[in-house]
Amino acid sequence: MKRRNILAKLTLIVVGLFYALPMISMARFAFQRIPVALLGSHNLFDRWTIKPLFTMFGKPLFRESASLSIRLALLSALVTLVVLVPTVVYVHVSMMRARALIEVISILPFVVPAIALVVGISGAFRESAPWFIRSNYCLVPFYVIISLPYTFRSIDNGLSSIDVKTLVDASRSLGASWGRTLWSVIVPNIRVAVLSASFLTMTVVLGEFTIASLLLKRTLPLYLSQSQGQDPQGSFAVGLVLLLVTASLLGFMNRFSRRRNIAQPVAML
Amino acid sequence: MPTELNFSNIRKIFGPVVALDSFSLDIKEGELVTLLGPSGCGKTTALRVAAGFEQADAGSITLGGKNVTSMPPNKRNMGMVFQNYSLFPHLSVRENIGFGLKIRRHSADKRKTMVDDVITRVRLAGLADRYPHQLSGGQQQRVALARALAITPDVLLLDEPLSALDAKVRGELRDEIRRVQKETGVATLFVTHDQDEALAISDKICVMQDGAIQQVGAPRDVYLAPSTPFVARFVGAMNEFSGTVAADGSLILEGGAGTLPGNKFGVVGEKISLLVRPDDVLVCPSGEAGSVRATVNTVLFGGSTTVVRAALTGDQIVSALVMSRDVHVKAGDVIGLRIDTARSVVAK
Repeated sequence: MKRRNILAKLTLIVVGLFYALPMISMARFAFQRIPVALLGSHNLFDRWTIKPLFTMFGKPLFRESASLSIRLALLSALVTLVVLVPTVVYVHVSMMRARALIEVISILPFVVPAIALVVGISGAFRESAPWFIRSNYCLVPFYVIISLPYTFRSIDNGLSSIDVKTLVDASRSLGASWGRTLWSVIVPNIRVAVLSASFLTMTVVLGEFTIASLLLKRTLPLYLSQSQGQDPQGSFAVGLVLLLVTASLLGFMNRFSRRRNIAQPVAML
Repeated sequence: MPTELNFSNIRKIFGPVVALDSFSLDIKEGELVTLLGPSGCGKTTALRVAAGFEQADAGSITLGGKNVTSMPPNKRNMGMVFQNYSLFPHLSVRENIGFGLKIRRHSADKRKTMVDDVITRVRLAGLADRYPHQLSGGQQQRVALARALAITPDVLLLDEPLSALDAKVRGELRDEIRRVQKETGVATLFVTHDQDEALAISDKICVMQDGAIQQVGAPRDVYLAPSTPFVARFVGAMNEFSGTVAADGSLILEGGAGTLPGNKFGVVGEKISLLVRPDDVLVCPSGEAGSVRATVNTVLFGGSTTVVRAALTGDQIVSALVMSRDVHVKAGDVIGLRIDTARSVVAK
């Protein structure tokens, strides 16, 4: 037993180091004013500064791309919820047998490479709706699709944990329309799942590179990649901050869902 | 016009299964009608068609004279209580009860008055600020009933509301439902597969089998004068005597167990089954005139009444329901059984 505990702790330490060491190196490279060649254990705490971050924030192109990525992240999360929640609720209420098929469809973005998706969709729209491909917001449907493997599962799990059909029937029998039922009965009971789907979509958007690059949109990941040559410290600093933001979102989501679970005691019968 | 719910020739099919066939039923204002039948007989489908959750393939439903067959459920003004509580977990008792009133855009003051009124009516005072997960099953079902009544529905639909509760709570809530239903005078359609529940609570019972109505009548009529062998077998316990109709009209029991007097069992020589309630079987000393001989198998004590199970010659088992204080027999005793066939049902 003791031996197994030691082994588990050792594994945890190795995995932790595997993640932490590159982060620490990245942080040192980005925030320490010491040439890379001179970085060592002797100067671990010397000359730390957040100036590279501010320098980056001061650049108009950075602000533009960051603003675009944030807008795209929010919009993609919104579209995901507006499309996915009613669809999955409908499946749970009326087409439970189709759930397996929809689950398979939801993992297609793992199978279809991003480049095939872009070539196909842009090819179809370039002639019929060129304005769509020209707009920065044409990325939103792509992002909604590539987030689907995560978002579908999140919403689906949320709905599986409640008796959707009975809640919908009860709400409808009390006079609520479908919209009111979704908004006032279903969504409040799958809050964690909705939050989780939103965060996951935003995380995907803030890290997506291929589609934006193929469609020549200047999103934050693309800008950071391009600016590495001119301002490597700044782009690594922003990359690290981005990583912390997404990790915090996921951590918050995890914490929130655990708190919700604790706050639901077993009914006293 | 009084609010009356009428089913007229409803037909509902799910794939190859005919869930409802030529289903016609009237529920008058103030009346509690129970749909009773085994699982899969179509009783819940009938209720869901009334509520608007399922669309009838043929026939019509009228509510207070108005055709509501194609009307969506949220426009029908029917309160519904489900088997599995169905309370909104994120809302308190008060908010759950006020949900339908909020949708009907009643002012906050009016809502509060109406909710308080219904809370008092179903005896939930003191629980208004609790959440569903803080309530027992019985309390949750009271809240569900209060929520359905709060909207002053034209019809109250109850889909096996007591089946998830333990026996004691079930009995209490059953009486509560009946009291509140009588007080409000709302036309009520109650679905159950529990015959005791149906007999105790209903003004009228509609017995169903395979999507069709077998008999509609007052509980007493359904129990004492079942119109078909199915109703006789399903509502209450039944003894089944197999035999041949004799020339004098009596029934000669199989295995030489004896003869049951009577003159209306069927054509002479015909083989029939005679269905007799255990309460129409009297335990008497062996050899008494008009009795058949039997050997006691088991004596099942059930409080005020006891069921004596005895085997006739030829191994047919007969149950007799007797008052516990009158039972003086034990397993292995040879007894006589006097069988009153006046209320029997013939199955051919």
